Amino acid sequence: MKIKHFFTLAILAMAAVNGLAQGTTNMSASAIDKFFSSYVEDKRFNVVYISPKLFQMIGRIDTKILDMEDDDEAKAVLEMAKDLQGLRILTTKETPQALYKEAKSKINTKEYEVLLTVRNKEGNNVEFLIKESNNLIQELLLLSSGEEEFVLLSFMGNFDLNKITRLAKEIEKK
Amino acid sequence: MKQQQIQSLLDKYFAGESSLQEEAQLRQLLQTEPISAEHLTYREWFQLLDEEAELSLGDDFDAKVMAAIEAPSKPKPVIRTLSISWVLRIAAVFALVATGLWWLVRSNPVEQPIVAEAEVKVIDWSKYEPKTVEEAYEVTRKALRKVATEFNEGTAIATQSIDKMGEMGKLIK
Repeated sequence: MKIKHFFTLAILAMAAVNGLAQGTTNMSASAIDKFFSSYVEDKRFNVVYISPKLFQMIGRIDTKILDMEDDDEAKAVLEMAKDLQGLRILTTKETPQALYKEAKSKINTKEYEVLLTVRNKEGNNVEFLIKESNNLIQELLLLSSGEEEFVLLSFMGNFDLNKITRLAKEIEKK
Repeated sequence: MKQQQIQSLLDKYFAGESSLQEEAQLRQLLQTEPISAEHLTYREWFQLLDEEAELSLGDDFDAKVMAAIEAPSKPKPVIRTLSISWVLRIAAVFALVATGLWWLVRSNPVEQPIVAEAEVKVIDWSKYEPKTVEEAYEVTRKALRKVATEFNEGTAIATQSIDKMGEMGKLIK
């Protein structure tokens, strides 16, 4: 083999692997952020963001003023809000099933772990995904799609599943 | 008399007019007859010619010439081989490429958060924040309600499935 040809092959191999590595980067950690960023400016979507500052302010809400003293559900919500540092919400009524599939395909399974998948008789799909660090849930993703709506919720902060169970019980009571 | 004959033959010889017989006669006279000092040079001249004529090519001359002619028609095949130094150079290039690839693979996970942060920064999330704390509370409440409800439904379906499996187990027994 002539050395000139060898160098050409070597450069091609480098380019190919570089392309592969770039591809891997694109599919990695920021997948959900990318999903948000691609639809956040889209007028068909409703977007809400609760910042860490707002969560701090929610935590300081006076239950007496809002007449929530006897509301156990409200108390459970406020208890959870203290641990949260951010909430991103993306909803739309356009092509919910297709968006659900797209969001699922973009999630990096190395980063997020599936906690629960529900598919009921009506064909509604719900998936809970979590991102853990030191056995603590740092982020909880809720992907939901039915016939009418697609919902993507992303909770950031320390998420306690026991508190969710408590809140669920309070909702059931009503 | 002989001297005159020799001179006459010499004149004809150098004029190119002598016959082969006359030439032979001239050689004969120069070798055998007593000659003058003037003709002695011609005797030596003809002796030299005779000696030169006696020189001949060897028997192996033809073989040598033929070998020399045929030699170029049979060129030795050119065999190119990679020397050790080239093998080392190629190995060095392989090592460089391998190191480069390893570095690329290693460096990508480090780059990912930077890319992610850069993309998050592009979005101005403040535009999507509720205007009041109460509104933010309501949004959070609804979001957590959905999580709790879906979580409840999921666990309920899972419990039902486990109960069904238990019933099936009883039937099998």
